[in-house]
Amino acid sequence: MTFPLYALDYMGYEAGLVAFTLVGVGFGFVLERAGFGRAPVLTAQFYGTDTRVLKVMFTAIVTALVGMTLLSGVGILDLGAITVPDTYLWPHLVGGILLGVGFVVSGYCPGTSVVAAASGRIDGLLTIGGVMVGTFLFGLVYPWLESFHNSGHLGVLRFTDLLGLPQAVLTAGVLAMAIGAFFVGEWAERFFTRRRNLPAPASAPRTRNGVFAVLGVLTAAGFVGLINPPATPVAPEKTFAAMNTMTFARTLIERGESLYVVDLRDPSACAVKRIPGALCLSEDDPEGAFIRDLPPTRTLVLYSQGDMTEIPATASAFTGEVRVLEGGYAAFNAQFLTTPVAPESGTTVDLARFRVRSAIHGYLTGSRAQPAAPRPKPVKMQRKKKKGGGC
Amino acid sequence: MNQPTIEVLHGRHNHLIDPALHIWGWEIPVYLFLGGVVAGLLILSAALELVRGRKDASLPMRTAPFVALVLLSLGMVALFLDLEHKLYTFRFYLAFEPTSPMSWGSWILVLVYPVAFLLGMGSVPQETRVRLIGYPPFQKLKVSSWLMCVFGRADSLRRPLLWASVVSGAALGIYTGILLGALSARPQWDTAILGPLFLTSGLSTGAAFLLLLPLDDGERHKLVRWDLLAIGAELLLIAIMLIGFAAGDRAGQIALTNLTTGNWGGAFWVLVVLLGLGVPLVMDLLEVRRRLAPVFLAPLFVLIGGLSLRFIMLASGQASSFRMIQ
Amino acid sequence: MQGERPFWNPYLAGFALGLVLLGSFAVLGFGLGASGASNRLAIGAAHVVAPKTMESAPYFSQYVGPGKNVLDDFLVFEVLGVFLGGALGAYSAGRMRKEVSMGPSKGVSRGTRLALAIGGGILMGVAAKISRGCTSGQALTGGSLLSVGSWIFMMAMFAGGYLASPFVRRQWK
Repeated sequence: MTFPLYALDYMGYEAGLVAFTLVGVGFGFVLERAGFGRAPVLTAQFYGTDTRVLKVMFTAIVTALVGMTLLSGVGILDLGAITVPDTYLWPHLVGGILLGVGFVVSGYCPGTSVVAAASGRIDGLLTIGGVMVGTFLFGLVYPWLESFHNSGHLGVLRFTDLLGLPQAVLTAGVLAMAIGAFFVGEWAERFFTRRRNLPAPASAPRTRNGVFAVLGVLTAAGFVGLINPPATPVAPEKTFAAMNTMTFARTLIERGESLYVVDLRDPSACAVKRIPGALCLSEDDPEGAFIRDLPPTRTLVLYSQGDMTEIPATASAFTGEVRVLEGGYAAFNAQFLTTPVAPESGTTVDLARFRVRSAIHGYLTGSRAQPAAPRPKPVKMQRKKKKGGGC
Repeated sequence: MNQPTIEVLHGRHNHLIDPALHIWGWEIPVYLFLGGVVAGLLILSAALELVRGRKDASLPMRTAPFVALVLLSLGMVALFLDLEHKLYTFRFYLAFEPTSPMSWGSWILVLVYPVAFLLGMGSVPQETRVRLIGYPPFQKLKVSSWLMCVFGRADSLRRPLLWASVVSGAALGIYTGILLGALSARPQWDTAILGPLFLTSGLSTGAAFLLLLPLDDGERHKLVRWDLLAIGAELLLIAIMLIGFAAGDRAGQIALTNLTTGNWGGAFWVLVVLLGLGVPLVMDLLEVRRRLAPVFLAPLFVLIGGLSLRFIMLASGQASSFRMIQ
Repeated sequence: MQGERPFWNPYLAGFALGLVLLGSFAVLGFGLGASGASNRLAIGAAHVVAPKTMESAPYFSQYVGPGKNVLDDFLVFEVLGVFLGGALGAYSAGRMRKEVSMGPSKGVSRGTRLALAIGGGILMGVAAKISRGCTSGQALTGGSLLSVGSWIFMMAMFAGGYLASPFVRRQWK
């Protein structure tokens, strides 16, 4: 599953902001074209003369619902990653009634007032101001409302859980309900406009039927997912590239400031001896929670005693590059932190290896390279080192 | 075997050890923005007369050079507030340093004042001139004779003045960008595009400023089209800048990610590109194509976008540094 | 100049709105909202006026304080987008005009209409905070996610509207 992109971390925060702004542009544009930038159009809902609000809202709900059911049915969209608002029984009931009253008094709801203001309606602009004042007033009296505000908390409660029905079945149910509501709405429009000698709102039945035919077909397609439920995909394990001790040692020396080195062994072991520059875990933070807060500008190198089998969760949360030291501390210690012994006899390759080892050892521990090494000229070692890196 | 380990720690392992240079606050972006608007006003008001000939202009167009002077002075106040050694400002004018953009800038600012003043004086209509010269206190203080001289000069030098206005406006606009571009320690500012980018932004914000005022139809007709061109050019320059970063070295990559996905990335795309350029572009196009009545919203968006561009380039630019290169 | 373009067919508009909502779910993983932005805007404004008081108040300090930017929020950006989209929609349809929206027969004065707009707004602001969302955040978003609380909110909202509608009938006649 790839979607939702942001919730599944395929998209950063700033990119998410831009994407959500574009969603907002679409939202505002459609609301305006739906006629929701005008108070009389919106409030006609409550006098039965034009049930545009009902039609637009329910069609939108059904469309989004059908789309989600279908996308999750074919396995692209992870429904579990979508934020569902918690249910608070009493606040939802009371807040809903008050908002309805405010709606018919001001002529807008908080979202449509923005559209109204954008199209030049002064009353819309003032409604935005009112909403700002209202939310602020709530903040002022919050201490007295807190217990009510949290009353009737049922957590995330969806009708699928409440009724124990699959999403596709409920989708079909909501679609049927919506169509029923539209018939009632259109009947009410005819009834109330005739009574007041107004022209009935123009609506093209063909468009309506077209929209519902499409939604009906898509709802039916949603059932396919029911018959053949997609296998729950296993989240891919985040794998980390290993870094061999030689590369690591050289990076540490040449560009030490490009690394964070974290010692995942026991804090006491780490305190005795560790790779120079490594950060130890501490007793009160054995999981290494601090890793998560490191800025992701450097490569994070982790090591434990030997080869690592799993990465702590805190390191997975690190957004930068993560590497694991091959062979762990044991390998590094044996190779570079113990005094290398010069080979008695050996090939030139052995000799070159020894020189590099002793140079790194000397650098990291501060001790000098073994005098036994023939002609330990730094210039030469440098060149040999480059050759050695290739093998 | 159990020898003590002497750790050779890199001091820069500590991520706060490098000095963070974040020294410019709101003053500089406001100054750069106002400088851009002034550049736009000077270029556009002069260019309009060069294109349309000298005929009765609307009040906002006639007074545009004076307004430009006021805005420039406000910008200079902001700049002055930012200066560390306020008393030594005069030293800028004791020498000219051809390699220093600050030196160029201070001299350009000096050049703009007389040009804009004379341009504005030349646009004062005849009856106002008569009234000003005839004002008794002016006559007593010998201001009238000076005014007569100034009006005469402003008229006789009208055409050279128009060109001087265009040139000094362009110099001012480019300088506001070069000022940042010269500080190559910030990878994000280390691009030659900033000069033309800030100039075109100055043109569009200058046009937007004028479009907010009651112009006559002919002037509006021209300005909206020029505004469109400036916005289009600005979008193009931003694209070139980003492509330049993307195709560049490690410093360029840092500048690119810092600007487009860094802390200011969302604000950059939304406030500068979408609100400041994209939406006004569409609205201007609609106005031109569909002959819709002009609204103040599009110019307002352009002005907000122009101000945001300066703020974001400064704020996010100061967050970019070669320290990030490893 | 051209006249106003007609509104879209409501079912088609609803379909388009549903696609926008679906896009929000699919790209970001959460739905739309509106009142949250007004809330943050108001708190931001109050913070400019009285920074110390705001930061020391336990409720407001969750929004403002050191290292927090009250406007750096998804909903603020989205509502800015709503404004831009609304402006584009209104301008391209020839509907952008400075005026006060009133009922066809103008049963109340301009002043009354504006006062009611503010009053209704204040009521909605309080209500939206109580129910943790408004028409966009609860009814539309939560409704399509089949959240029980959102459907309760939606029904209550329609009920509240119908209950109050006789009292402000003059305004919309």
